[in-house]
Amino acid sequence: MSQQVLEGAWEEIVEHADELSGKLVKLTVLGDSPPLMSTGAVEQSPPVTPVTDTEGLFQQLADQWRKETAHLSLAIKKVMHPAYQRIIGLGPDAVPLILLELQHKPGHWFWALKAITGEDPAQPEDTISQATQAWLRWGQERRYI
Amino acid sequence: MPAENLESLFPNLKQAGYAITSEEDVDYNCIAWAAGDSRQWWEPSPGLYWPPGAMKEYTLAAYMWAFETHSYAPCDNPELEPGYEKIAIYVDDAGDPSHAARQTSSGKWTSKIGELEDIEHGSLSDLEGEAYGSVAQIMKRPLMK
Repeated sequence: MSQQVLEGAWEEIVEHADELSGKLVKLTVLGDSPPLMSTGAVEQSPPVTPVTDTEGLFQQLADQWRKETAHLSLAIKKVMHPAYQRIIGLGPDAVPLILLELQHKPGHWFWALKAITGEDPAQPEDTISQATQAWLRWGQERRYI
Repeated sequence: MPAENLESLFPNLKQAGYAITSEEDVDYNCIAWAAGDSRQWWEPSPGLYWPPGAMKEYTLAAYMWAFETHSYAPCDNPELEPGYEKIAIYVDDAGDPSHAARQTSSGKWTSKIGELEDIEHGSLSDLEGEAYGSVAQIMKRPLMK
């Protein structure tokens, strides 16, 4: 495979998560503006598509994730799915969208919420449903939902 | 999950026949269900339940240990045996645990499919294939009175 450079905001780079899966990459963070990701490259990639519709992208990724992982019995495999990792890559914008998902249906969204927010309102002994309720209360207190 | 999706994931099911025996429930997984627990998601990961004393690893040995804490012992066949209850542990191509099923008093098997429904299926091979791999270990314990 030839080397390539991906440039853009992190949210734009994670758009390429599927094609980068299994590839050796080198990440260089050069600053806040403009963000830049380099693979030490010799060839320029096509411009990445900016994320203009976070909600639409989230729904697309969440649907894909549910469809491809609902049958799995290991949460660790669910959260390692590329679509789930891309949702984490959406950052704080994804938090209210995940909480709305949880309102609709309990699920293994806690890893993403913890990764993005650095918080964990659930108790270690909580069931998935109890942890869901703890996160929904957390979201209501912070007016995410 | 619609039946056609289930049958797409597990092609052997369609021919062999099966019955959906519960609603979807994210609170417990197949490992818990095999051990008779429909309240918690069993997995050796922080924030999820794993039997105290069992090794916290995603290995067949650790999963066998988890069942041993619930009085199961290794067994060499899946045949119905009066006075005993049997479970089967599936592993994927990498040898990592992927699923568990429990034998019912009729000799059929009951499986929780990830966060989806419980199903009853006639043989262990009905769930073998790309999604869950193949059966690696049978265990049994005396039937609880």
